[in-house]
Amino acid sequence: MAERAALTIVPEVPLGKLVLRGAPDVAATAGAALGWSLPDRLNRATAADAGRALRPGPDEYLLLVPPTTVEATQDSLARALAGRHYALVDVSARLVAIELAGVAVRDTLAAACPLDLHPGAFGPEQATRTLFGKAEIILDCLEQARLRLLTNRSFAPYVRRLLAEAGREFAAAQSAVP
Amino acid sequence: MSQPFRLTAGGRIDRSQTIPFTFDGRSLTGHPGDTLASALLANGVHLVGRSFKYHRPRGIMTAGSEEPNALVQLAPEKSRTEPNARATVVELKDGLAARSQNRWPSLDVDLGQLNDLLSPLFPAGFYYKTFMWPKAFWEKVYEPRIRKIAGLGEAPSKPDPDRYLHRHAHCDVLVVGGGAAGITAALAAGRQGRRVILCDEQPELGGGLLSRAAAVVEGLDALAALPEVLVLTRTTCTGYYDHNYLVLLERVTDHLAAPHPDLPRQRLWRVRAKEVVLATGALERPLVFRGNDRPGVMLASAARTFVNRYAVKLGERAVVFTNNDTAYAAALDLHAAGITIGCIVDARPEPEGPLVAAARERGMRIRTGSVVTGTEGPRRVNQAAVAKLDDGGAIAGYLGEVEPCDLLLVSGGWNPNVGLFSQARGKLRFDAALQAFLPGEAPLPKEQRLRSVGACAGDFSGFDAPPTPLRALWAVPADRSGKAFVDFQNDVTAKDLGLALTEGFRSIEHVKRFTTTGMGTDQGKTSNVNALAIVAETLAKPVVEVGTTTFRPPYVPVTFGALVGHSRGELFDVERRTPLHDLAVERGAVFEDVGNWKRARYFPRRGEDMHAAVARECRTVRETGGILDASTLGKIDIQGRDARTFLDRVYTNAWSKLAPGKCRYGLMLRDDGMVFDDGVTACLDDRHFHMTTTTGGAPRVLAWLEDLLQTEWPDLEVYLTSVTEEWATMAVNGPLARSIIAPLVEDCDLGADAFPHMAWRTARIAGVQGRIFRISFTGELSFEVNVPADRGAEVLAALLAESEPKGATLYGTETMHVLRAEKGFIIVGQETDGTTTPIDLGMDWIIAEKKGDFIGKRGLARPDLVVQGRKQLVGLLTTDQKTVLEEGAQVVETPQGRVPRPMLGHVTSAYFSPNVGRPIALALIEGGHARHGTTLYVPLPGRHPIPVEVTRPIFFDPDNARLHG
Repeated sequence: MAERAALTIVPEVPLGKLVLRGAPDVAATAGAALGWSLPDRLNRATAADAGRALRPGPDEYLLLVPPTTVEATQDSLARALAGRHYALVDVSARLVAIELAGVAVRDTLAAACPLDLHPGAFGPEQATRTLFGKAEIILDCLEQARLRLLTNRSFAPYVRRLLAEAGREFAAAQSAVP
Repeated sequence: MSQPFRLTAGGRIDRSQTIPFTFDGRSLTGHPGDTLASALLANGVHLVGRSFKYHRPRGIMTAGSEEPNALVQLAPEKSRTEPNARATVVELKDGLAARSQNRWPSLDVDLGQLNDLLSPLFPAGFYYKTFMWPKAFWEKVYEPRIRKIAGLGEAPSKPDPDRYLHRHAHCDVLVVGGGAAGITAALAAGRQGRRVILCDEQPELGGGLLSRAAAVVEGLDALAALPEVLVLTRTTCTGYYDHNYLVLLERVTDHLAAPHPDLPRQRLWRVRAKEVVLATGALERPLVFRGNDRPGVMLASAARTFVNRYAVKLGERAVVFTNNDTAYAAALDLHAAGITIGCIVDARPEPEGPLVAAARERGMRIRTGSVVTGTEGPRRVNQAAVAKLDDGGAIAGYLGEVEPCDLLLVSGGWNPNVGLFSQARGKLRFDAALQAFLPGEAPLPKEQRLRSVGACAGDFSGFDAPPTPLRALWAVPADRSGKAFVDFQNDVTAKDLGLALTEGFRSIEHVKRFTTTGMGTDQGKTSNVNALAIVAETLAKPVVEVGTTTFRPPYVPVTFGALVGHSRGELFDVERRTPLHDLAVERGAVFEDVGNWKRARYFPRRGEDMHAAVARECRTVRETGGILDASTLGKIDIQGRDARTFLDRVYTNAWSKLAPGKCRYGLMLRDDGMVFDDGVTACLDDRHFHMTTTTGGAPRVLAWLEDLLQTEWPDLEVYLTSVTEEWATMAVNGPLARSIIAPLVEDCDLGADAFPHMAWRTARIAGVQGRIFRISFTGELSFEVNVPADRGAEVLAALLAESEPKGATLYGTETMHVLRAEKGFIIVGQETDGTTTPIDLGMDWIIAEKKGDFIGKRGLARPDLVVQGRKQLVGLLTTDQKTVLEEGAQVVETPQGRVPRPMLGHVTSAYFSPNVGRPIALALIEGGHARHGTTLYVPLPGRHPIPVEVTRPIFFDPDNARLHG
């Protein structure tokens, strides 16, 4: 019988999200402008007080910042990257961030995520694009027992429902605050 | 007395608790630790079912998941009932209700038993040759009757109320089988710090050890102390697939009387293992002789398990029939439990060894060089006939000497359990000493990293008696009377195999299919090797030349629920809703599925059907105004220095001069020149464009464009980002469109000169920063308002507050379809089908011949595409002005003549147009552009062909006067 352990699901974490496309040298310039360096390895995350950066693709970065600083972040990046080959797109409304916490987080996700979610294989500061059931997600490990999952807006209700179903045996609870 | 055949001591059952259950309505009891089979036997119930074809009385033959006979129906309620459950693996629980299958009116008195007497009518493959006349009777009469009489349990008739989940898992080592070999392997790997999963189908680890008297299973504490070792009991590995991907079925709550509702009933584990250790043990073989299926005839190892593990006194007097030593261990344990061993019938002329000696010491009579030729007994064996077997394998007298018994133990040797090895595409070899198949030496495909250990690899050192030496004995020679079963579940006899060979079948695969041997839910675990060997013997070929049939997943039956997992009901598929969905629901929308999207199709008011609602919406849009939720349209953000060049290549028209602030309609072709997708793209600035695609095409257009950039044109500095879901899109259409949005718009001059058709502007709409596009899919004055998706609902609410007092409404996709058809605007996928070029559509104007290359340009020059007589887009007006044509209807030249008449094309869209006041249709017709003004005919089922006038594909406001309003 499965162990019943606490699992908390925060249905939506308010976050600004920006997709930055560009080669590593663009990312380096962007990091300098932001004041925190973007991940130099694929499927990694870097964090600073001002935000968090994931690298889900070779030339793709996802910047997660407080909703209030989206415009300022865009402006400073646009200035720093003027003339360079890059793209910066605000996807704050497109992506929905859902947060999961508790020791059952990984077993819950494993109900529908084919990735190896063992703490040794997917630990803090790792982030990757993957699947959760039929939804494409970006999975971001904040701490060993705290993960964030980003998905397109119209997939979010499905993802939440599936999380609730998979987490039911772990006494999943919904919480409004992270 | 309750459980009269329970031994007073021993076993792994908990006598301190009693569990009530029923079998065929009869109240019985057992103990925790019992299976249904052991509890039935403890109550003296040996007859538990009737066989598939001949309705012969059947009992319990094995003690494990290979059981072919003891199949029962569980839980009589309509939703949870389960057919063909093997009583030998069903754990006893409070209130368990089981009943026997395939009998009428009762298990004891079963009229179907007549089939046994009529069996000459039903030889193997009978359905291929009898019951063939009259032909029509097969489907209506014979087959339904035969299916009713034959067959096993009943499927549930109501939806499954239980929950099922999947679990993906990764490990360094997956060990399948928790016997001594499996535990040893898991410990060794675990102690090296490797991630290990050990699964076993039993409720506790130990495997064959659990069947010994005073069983001790070592290593469990050590295993539990290893943090990276996950032990899964009640978990059967059902499939070994490619690249070390295996599927395990965990029965999470099946054994619980009142499971917690939050637990899934079963869990399907989907394991990717770096390495697999198969420790699946071995299965004992039955022997083939007349009446070997009678209740009370049991595998020797199973009898040993029932006595030692479940403390069941199986009978008073047992006869043991064997060709190897292992059955002696069973005989000794039964003897120790107080069961008289009538005699041991050993096919070997001179058996010897410690177990044989021990049996002799205890005074057991050993009839060497002998065989059981048959059994008697109405519902349970009451005697066995024993005869001498000569060196040549012949028998003097078939009737033999009678040995009275109420239990007959059989052992025909052991089959290493190589099913999973074979599923992994390992090749088997035939071992002469064991007379069984073993994992072969040939290397496996390199992506399958596995090893077999213990009995499944032929290493029987864990057995307390080895299965060798044995005397190969497949079918006991028999006279013509009586049935000697090879496949017990499918009622296949040795004689049936002979018949298949007589009829000329040679391949074992053909013999299998003709006789159905090995094709039951047990997958022939007890029958396959016997069948192969009998075929080989009859053909006088070595077994290895006959070969094996294919082992296929699943190893044991798997519930549909476990396969489906969470994917049912609301979780069956993703239902995508737009940000404006809830407002549409409030306005009474009827939705339609467009891909995974739910789109509002129309908004019926009281008493309106679809036709009335759509007619009203169509008029309202053109007379006052209407708002369409267009959020599902694909949107791609395009950035980079080479964005214009990129657009020039993927669209047929020219993009070099599109100024910032302007939009343009574009058509994308495939390489072959056929229309692929269409949409409007706006120039945000010189290096930044906003492309829209069709709703259905959104993912494939983005994937294709990305593919082009990465593989064909890596030199282009362009990045693509999907923004489909970033924006909520509201298309405000109609003569009042401007006055509807004007009060809500800041920072934007909406005047016709300042903001013309095919322009876009940034603006604040209802306080939300967004973009407005002057693009129109209705031919009306139109403003497409885009705001961030999370603000969409509030902006739409504001728009509705402005529009509804003016009489404007939300309208749905059905109305959108009619309005665009009135204007002759195509829908990709409706007017096009992958064989349609822009020229066929009359859209020559969109092909910029001079701009250089674009995708599809060379395709368009192919001879077939410039030839006369291609199907071209036209309008159709029914001359009766009443009949709405059917989409997909064929179009012909004349109403008379022989059918089939040459078909000129088909109707692609057909609606009643309230604004035109008559039905309109679009069609693709051979040489259509030259047929304007002519009359053609549309045959519809059951009607006289309907005359239609061919027109230009535009029915309303042909001069586009309204667009610029």
